[in-house]
Amino acid sequence: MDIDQDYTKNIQISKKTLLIDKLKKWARLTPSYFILGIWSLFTAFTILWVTASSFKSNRQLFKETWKIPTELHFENYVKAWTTVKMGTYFINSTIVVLSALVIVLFISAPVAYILSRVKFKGNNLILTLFIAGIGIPVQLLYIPLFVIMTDLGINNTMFGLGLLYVVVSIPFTVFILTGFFGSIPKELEEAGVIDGCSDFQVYWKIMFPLATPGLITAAIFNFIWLWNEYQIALVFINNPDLRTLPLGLYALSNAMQYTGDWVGLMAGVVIIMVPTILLYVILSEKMIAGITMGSVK
Amino acid sequence: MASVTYEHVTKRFGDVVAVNDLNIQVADKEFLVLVGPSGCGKTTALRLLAGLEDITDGKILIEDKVVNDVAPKDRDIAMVFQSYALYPHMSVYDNMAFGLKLRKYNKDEIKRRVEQAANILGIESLLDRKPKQLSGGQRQRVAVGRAIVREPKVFLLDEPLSNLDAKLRVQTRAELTKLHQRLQATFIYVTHDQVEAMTMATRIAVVNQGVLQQIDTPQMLYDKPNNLFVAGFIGSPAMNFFDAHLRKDGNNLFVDTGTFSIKVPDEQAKIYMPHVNKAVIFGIRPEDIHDPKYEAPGIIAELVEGKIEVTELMGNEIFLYLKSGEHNYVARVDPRTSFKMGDDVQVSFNMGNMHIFDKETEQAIR
Repeated sequence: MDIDQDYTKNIQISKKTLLIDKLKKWARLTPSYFILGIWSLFTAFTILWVTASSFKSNRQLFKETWKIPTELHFENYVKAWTTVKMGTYFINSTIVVLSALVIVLFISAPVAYILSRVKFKGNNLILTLFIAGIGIPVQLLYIPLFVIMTDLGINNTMFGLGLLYVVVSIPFTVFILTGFFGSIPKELEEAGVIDGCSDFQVYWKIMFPLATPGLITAAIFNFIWLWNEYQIALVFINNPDLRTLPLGLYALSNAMQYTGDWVGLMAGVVIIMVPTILLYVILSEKMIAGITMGSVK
Repeated sequence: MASVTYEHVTKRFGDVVAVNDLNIQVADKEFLVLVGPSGCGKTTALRLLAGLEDITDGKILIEDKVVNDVAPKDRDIAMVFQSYALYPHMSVYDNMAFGLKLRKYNKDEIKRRVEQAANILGIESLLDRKPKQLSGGQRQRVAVGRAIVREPKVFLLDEPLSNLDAKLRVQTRAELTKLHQRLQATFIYVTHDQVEAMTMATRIAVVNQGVLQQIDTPQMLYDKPNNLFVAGFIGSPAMNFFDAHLRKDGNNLFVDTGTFSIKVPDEQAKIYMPHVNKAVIFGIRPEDIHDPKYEAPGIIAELVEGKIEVTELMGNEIFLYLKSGEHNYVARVDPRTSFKMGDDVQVSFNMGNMHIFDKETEQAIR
């Protein structure tokens, strides 16, 4: 009888501690879930509302602000794309950002590989310099950069802007890729060496493909910030024909003061948003997939 | 196929000496096993031969050619890594073909060799898979396959079985021995497992703290260990050791452990006579301690009294954990024994197989 009582008591106690543990966990997680939830709702709502509004007419936008559009006014997009030259800006942005992206990855990947793999004097110092580079606000460099760019005769050109994008993206890219290369098992390199790879072949045939998830992560991060980059483009691009999308969008919203074309502005915002979202949808799974799994046990 | 020679090879990492003045001659077609506890320098010795580490001092020769400054890919060796190190982004076929492609073999030859190796290892059906779709045992085979397609002079294997489960390990052990016979190549195999060493090697090199302790055939290592370390490392359960001294009584020589005193057979007594009254270590293997009822005929048996503290039934034999005075030791006896836990018993030591080591130098006295 005593034993039975003890037993039930013990069970009650363990149930109680379990409950307390659960409550503690909730208490810890609730604030973050709450904040993240609000944030997600706000973001989702904004995207949906902007997208919905971009298909309305101006009159409908003001009369039925929160309603779903009854008919689709595609002419907003046509207008934004042609009349306000968003089409030209879109092409400019694509050319500058994509070429900068490719060059950044091709420069940063070997640098990160060497920094994470080869032990030599000054290795840490160089990595530290790259990390410090992340912390320097690019605004501080506008004046010297402007002088240099003008001297080189590449100010106010797409090539010059692309070059700047490459330069300011390298530190961060090297930093995250160093981590990725560092996590690839060393035996794979050694197996490559014994199989007959030269140093370059080890990098190109083994390490580079294995760093794909890292490269994709770096690509997404860089794409998002370069695609939305406004300030550098504003400082170094004067020619209206060479504007990138964020500059174009700003011009559009300025023009709005006179034309009152809100739906056209919404269409412009959607145009600038779509590539980022598409890229994320297509590549995010690759980013997470660890393809190094199964190489070594 | 080729011979391999280590000549006074030393490797230092900063102040740490990983390999100290190593001298080994591996004959053509030999299966040499480097064995020792973790961190003893055996893997480093293998990596020096592979060219993955630079040699601090000394020379390594493959077939009379010094390879100290030869790149790994030009040494004509292949290596199987402990972690297998399969390229995760390549199929099994490409993993095996990679080395041949880099060496610019033509496609038909590559295909022939990969298929032949896959056939030998029984992995023909896996050629299109990626490493992550394979089980541990299959990965291990692919790693071996990647080595054999190259048809190298020397195969280096770095603990290739340590990631397999016990059953698969035993099976793969036999397969590696068969593979060695079939390929007629020089194998150098690193392991910390003395059972692997004993079962596969034509010769074993025992290494401890970067120093070669003894190199010999498995049987010789087992029967005539050079020193205390080798005696304790080879054999499972390990050899029993007793602090003792040699005492002369009339014409007879005795090993005196303080608790018990046993007569040394006349033949051995001649050898040990010069060491009378010296502190020594007396060693005897568990299988040389018997239940007197079931001892092998014709052995020179001496009886010792002890108390059985624990018994372990292994099926085909029983391990007795005995205590005599201060001394704890293990006996490996016939399973028919009637000895029980807690019994005070007499066990017989087969003194024909006794070992004596100098206490100071830890070298065997012979």
